[in-house]
Amino acid sequence: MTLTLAQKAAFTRLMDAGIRRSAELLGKMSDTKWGIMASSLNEISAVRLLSWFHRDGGTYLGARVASKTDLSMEFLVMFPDKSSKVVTAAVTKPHTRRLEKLPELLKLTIGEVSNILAQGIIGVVADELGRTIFLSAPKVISGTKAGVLSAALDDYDGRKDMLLMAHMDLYSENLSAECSVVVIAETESLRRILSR
Amino acid sequence: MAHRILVVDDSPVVRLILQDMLEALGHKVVAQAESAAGAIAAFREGKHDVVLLDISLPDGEGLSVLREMRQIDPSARVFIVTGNAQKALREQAIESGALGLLQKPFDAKELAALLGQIGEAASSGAAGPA
Repeated sequence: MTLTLAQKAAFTRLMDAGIRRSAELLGKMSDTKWGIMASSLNEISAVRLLSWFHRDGGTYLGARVASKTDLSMEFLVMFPDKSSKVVTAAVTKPHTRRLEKLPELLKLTIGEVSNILAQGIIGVVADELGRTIFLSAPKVISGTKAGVLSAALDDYDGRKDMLLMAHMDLYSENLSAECSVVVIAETESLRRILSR
Repeated sequence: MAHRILVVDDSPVVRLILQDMLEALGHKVVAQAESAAGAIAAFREGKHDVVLLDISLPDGEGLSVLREMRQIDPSARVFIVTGNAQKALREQAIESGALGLLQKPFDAKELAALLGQIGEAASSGAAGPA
């Protein structure tokens, strides 16, 4: 079963407001402005998104964060290699002395940043629905964009799960950094919740 | 007023950033924990007078930990730390006995204001934190 036009419009509106909130949070963390470079908020097929991502063979560091409620929604936040270093440096700058000796600082920081970005979006969804939605701890991942998305899609059943995907890119001119956010929502759980 | 603080968060980055900010404000981090079980164990040791508690821990939810802490010590002063600013969560946290929410990413002024509330409530004799 698919979403009605009104439900799709509601999803698009929530993703749009959510990514704006996430851009604000990323700006606060890195002490610089972030904009939304491109977004595909409507339904995108997994095949189309994978084929788009295959064009980019660069290495990304990011995280997977999933909803822990009846709303099946997952976030993939991905920073290109260079951007992950720049963002980590910006976020940890005020605390460098204390953090510099921490093993795996890059992975840990990008995991936390990704978590906060996902929280920005899910916070908008939860407030709109008048409920609380908890997210899992971030699972930090490394690979090509297509590889990371493929791994996430492996967790769904291609025969019965209908997925709604949104893809958004954020950028910062000051840091010369960018970040991709993919939201994967299982259509049936989204439909159930949006129709309440 | 300087506080002795127990910081609970699964991320070492978050714990160290909080420690840095708290010490810059004149407070002392007396214990840290990265899990629900570790948080309860550290809480029972009682070195702290304030707890900063992450909402999402690898082995449990922060709200359950908060309720357990309040059972152990009904006057426990606990602030929930979260990247999740959802309105319903804020209400649940307050209903469960949290003094307030500290939103990630952290802001030194917000942190100072939150901890300042404790001193004000205590000196005015208002109900709330003991």
